[in-house]
Amino acid sequence: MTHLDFVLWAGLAIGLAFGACGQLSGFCLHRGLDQRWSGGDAPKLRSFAMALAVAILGTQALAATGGVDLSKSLYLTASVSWLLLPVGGLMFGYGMALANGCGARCLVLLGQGNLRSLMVLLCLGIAAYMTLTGVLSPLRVALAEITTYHLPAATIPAGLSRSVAACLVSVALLRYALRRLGSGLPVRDLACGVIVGLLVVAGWYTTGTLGADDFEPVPVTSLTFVAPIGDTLQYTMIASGMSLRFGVVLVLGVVLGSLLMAVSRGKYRLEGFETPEQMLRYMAGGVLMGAGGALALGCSIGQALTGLSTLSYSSAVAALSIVAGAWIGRHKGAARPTARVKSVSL
Amino acid sequence: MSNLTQSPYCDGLRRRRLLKAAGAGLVGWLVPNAASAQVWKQVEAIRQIAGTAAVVNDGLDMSLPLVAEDGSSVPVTIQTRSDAGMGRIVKLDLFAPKNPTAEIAAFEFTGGLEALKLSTRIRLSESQTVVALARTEDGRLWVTERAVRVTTSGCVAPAGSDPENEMKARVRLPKAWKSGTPAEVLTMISHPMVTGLAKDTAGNTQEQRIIESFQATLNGESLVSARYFRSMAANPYLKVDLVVHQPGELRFEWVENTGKTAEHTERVTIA
Repeated sequence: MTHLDFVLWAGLAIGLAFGACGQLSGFCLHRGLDQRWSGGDAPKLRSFAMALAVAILGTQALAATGGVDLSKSLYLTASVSWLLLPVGGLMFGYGMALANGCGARCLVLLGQGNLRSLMVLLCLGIAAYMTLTGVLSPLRVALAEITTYHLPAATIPAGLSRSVAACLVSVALLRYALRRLGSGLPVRDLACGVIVGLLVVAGWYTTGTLGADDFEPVPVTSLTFVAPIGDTLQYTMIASGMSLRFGVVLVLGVVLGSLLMAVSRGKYRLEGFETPEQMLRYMAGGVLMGAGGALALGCSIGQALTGLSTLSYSSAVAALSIVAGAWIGRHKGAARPTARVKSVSL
Repeated sequence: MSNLTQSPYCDGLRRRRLLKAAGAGLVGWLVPNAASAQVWKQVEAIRQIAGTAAVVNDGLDMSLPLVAEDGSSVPVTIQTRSDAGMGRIVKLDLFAPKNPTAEIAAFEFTGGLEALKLSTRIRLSESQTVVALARTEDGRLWVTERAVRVTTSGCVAPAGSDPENEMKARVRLPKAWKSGTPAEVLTMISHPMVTGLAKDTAGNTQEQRIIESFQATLNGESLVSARYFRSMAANPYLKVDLVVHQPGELRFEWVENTGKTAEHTERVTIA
């Protein structure tokens, strides 16, 4: 096996684990935020906080020991678009509220038989490619050129200050994740949060160490879903002229992992749209997530988990924009049809 | 973004390419076969090499991705089909006809190679058909073509420029050589391959600065030599199957167009 094969098999394994874990616990930033904004305890948000804390600590430890050169990743570039990054984040967050879950969540739901998610994913993948390389790409490039901003630094300087920052942020997140409320600790959610956090680290290790090669290095990345969902659609259509990559096997792994877990738990159930209005809403959500994710360079996993694990300043902006977009989506405009609630199992 | 402008071919050319992309894609889609196996005849640089020699279309294979998201580094592999009965290959030329410089690289294999397998990375300024032209000992020419679509997003990728390691050579040889059996040799040199076409952030055009030649010699005898042009991707990479018949000193040399050189030497022992 070449190093590329190792990367692909590891990517598939990471995807399977993420899919299984997501199916089991319903890991989802959107649901966490929704629970939080509905008042009361938010086990899904605590699960996400746990994942983020583990991802930050693990990734920083891996980078400090030379397991991955994060400066080669997408997130640690010092020149960003001050316009597209937040606008893309807002679009993604709003779309996530419309479609009732992010791209990664849709992959998990698809695995358990939810065909609404398939529609969202198709719209998301196509919109992402329209924005990255398709009809909208001239506009994206033109806007990026006139709104480029050079950050003085992409992240906190290496060494003691970065270690301290990583620890402080993680401790704050862990305190939130582990605080006791009336009903005790949501153990399954927190355990799945730990696993997802470790999968982010595993992704960095896979592309940064297994994929390292003097001659043919693999692009350094980890869990991220917007461009990879588009890549996967493209791969299915032009596989004879395109080689498999980490992101594509990751996406396939998530669907498969969720499918296996759903079947083994007896949770596999075909579901579709109930009304055309609902379908339109989900499609709009998919398009907004695809285009927004492409502009913001990542999704609620890609920026808010993987990006933040690098302690990148621009990822913090993108993650906050995604949360803000989700808030707007929930509180203004994107009123939820009542029929939806019961049909989304787990 | 600053790295957009550093990245060669991603500046002025890109805008034009974007405008043309939709139209070109449509035409290519409507007439899929009209251009196949004939593009090379329209390229002056290739016609000059071909002259009046007999040209065979069948025998060489080229692998390229159908869609390249990063036009600044597109992997290409040329190999001979074992059943083509080509004889020894002494030369191989690569062309990207729609690039500002159509020539990509010109390789010569002293003594000829019975089976050719060569990979490198090239720059493509827009969607086009890449052409490879091989010459065998008997003077026949062998041509192969492959269309590739270049999209935009590659220009967003961070530029790989690394001044500290410039002219740093890397070589990977087979663990064990067998006399007369082809074995894979990988070489790469860190170099930005400045095209002299792209403008930097201040609007200045940097002068062309490229690796212009490469040679591998065994005990002073050339195995492969190459001329590189600005259509070669940064950090010129070459993977080629070579045949040795004797142990000795394998020496690699790269020359920049300023005259600066880099060298790397390895011992070859035959199992």
